[in-house]
Amino acid sequence: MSIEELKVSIKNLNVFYGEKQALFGINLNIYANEVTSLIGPSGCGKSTLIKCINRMNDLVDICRYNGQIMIDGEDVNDPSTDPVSLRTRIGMVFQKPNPFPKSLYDNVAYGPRLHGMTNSKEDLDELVITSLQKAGLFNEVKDRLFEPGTGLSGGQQQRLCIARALAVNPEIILMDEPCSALDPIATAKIEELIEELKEKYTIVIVTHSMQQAARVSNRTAYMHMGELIESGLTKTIFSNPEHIKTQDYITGRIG
Amino acid sequence: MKEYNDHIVSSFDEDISSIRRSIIKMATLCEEQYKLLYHIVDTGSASTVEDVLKNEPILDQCDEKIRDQVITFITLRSPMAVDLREGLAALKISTDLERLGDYCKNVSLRIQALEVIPAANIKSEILRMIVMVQGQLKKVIDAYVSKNKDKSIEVRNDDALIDKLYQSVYEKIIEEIRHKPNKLKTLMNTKLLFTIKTIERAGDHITNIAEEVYYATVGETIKTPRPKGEFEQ
Repeated sequence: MSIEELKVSIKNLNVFYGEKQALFGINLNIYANEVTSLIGPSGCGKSTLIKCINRMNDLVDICRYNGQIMIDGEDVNDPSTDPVSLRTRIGMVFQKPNPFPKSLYDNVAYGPRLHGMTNSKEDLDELVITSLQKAGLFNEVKDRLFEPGTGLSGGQQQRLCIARALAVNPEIILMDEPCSALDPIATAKIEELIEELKEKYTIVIVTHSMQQAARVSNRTAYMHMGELIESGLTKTIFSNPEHIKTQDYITGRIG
Repeated sequence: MKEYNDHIVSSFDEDISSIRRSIIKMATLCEEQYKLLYHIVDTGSASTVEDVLKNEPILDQCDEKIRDQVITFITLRSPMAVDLREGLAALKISTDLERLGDYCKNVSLRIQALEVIPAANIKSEILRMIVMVQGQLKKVIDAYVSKNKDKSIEVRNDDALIDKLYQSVYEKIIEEIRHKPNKLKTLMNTKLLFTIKTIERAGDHITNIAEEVYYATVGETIKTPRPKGEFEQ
């Protein structure tokens, strides 16, 4: 990638849960076809931040915010923005694999059916298959597409959730600790998948594993107590960070 | 100079301290070798040559031990940023110290094998070179111990003084060769040329160490070029 294309621009974002301020003046650029990782101690606001991107925080009554989040130059919080269509552009994968209690096929077909994305059974079949292929799962499950998704191993379930996210053809994929419940092999498969997916998608990953952030991401942002302390190229953040708080965190020092 | 907090896992700090102690021990022994070398050039003491030869394998062992320590440290701790630099710097510094030890042994043996005693003015300048190398070594250890980037830059800059002195001794020896075409003396002086070059090279390895100390401390390489004595310009 020679020219960076700005995908998400977060400007001076403040978020409050009731009286408590969760994010303080966050400024962060997220670039297309890159993996951006958010790191920082528990409670520092990483999840809050990614939930602002697809307006998941709308579901929290006491949540208020000011500042701006632009995706491709459009304000996410503009009154004319429909959060449902916004969320079709943004897939999300969570810490614990959460397949629906349905068949593998129905899990992946759920979003496309909901949004009326396909016109025929054949189209839907194809979309399900390609989504499973993109998630690197198809070959493992092709003979049991109509068995329950919950019967898969943890790593397979997580890839099923990724396939489900990919099925609605998103532009951005948000991953909130996608590997923390997985073993090293399943983790490696997800990381390999992330590497492939960034060709087509913009990926934001929250992770508690510094090694994982270092392995998969192009850029890293370090957050601490609701503030964005430092962001930059992953190789710089992990080899010679500017801020002492970042250094303390990544090297496991008492901050 | 940045000050770092302790690691949450205290054995992490102990690992780093242990590597640093090994480097300091090795560097101190290396410096000791150059003190012995001074004595050898000054007095021609054969027993001191023996001492140098006895110490030399210990430096090799130190080098191997540090390599093992650093590999274990990297494998078990997955260090990042300043911690990783600390480990890698130790690895490189120990290689330079090992080489400094080789040079010292090499010079000791060459001096012992000389057929004729060098001219007084040349001998005194060689002694000065050795004092400077030893002083630089001491200073670079100080810089390492105190993580002092300014001191490491000083060491790096002061290497030019050794280069200049080398140039001066070199010219004196050439002058000797030119004016006293005695075969034995010429042979001795030719050997001396190699010897002083080795001492000058020892200075370069100390410069390497100074640069490693700077890099480990600051996280960047020194941007200005190495100052050179006139000879190398």
